[in-house]
Amino acid sequence: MQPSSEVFSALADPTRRFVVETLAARGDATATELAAELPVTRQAVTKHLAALGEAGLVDAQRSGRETRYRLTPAPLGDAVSWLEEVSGTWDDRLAALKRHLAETSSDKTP
Amino acid sequence: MEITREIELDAPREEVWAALTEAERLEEWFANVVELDARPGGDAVFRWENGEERRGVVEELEEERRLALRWDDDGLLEVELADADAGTVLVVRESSPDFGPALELQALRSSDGPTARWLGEMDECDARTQGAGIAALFTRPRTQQRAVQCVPTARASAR
Repeated sequence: MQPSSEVFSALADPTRRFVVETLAARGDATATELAAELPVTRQAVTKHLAALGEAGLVDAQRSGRETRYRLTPAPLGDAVSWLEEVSGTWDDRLAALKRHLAETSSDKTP
Repeated sequence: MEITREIELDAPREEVWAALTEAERLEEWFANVVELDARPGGDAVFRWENGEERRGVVEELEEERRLALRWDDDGLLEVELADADAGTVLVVRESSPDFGPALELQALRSSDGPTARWLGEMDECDARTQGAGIAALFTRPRTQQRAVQCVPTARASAR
């Protein structure tokens, strides 16, 4: 199944991919911690995290006064394997076409 | 970026074209339910048994030679037919605006960087718990999540 287009538009931005990489490396992080590792402001990081959150790629968890963010595995895994899936689907379809043509031509043979 | 496939088929071009453009033929190999108005500007709807549906419009059509279908998500599917020694060569090309980011993601995975390791750990965890780990992590109430063993090791080392 194709991941939602929000997933890919969220990941089209290199800064957001860097946020994904950083979250993967750290496990979880606050917006402030991420801003310290990126050449952007905390506000900008918060916006990127919101976009990633809307696409279902990150999950926010409040703990006391801070909000910690982490990656959600399923949508990211789906997005990563999607291209292979599309290629694989075409291999399957063309194999099915080949079989279909073989069947229809043998139908015509008396 | 596009996905391209080339296949040699043991059937004449006319026959392959029919299998590619007639709804009842497409239902034999491509999708479960097909509506296709095979002329430029014609509508196309494909439905699969898993509930997936794709819609598009015929953008170009050259009888027994070439068909281009524009998906409603802006992707493009092109099929081209050419005569071969024993039959027909079919070339299929699919492109989508989503392929670019998807490719970048694949690069992240194959880079051996943090995302690659993280996804690898998640796969391992999934295998260990037969899928229960990750699914449970995001469907159970948060209070129960600590009981799940599947937490990437990177999480521990970050603290």
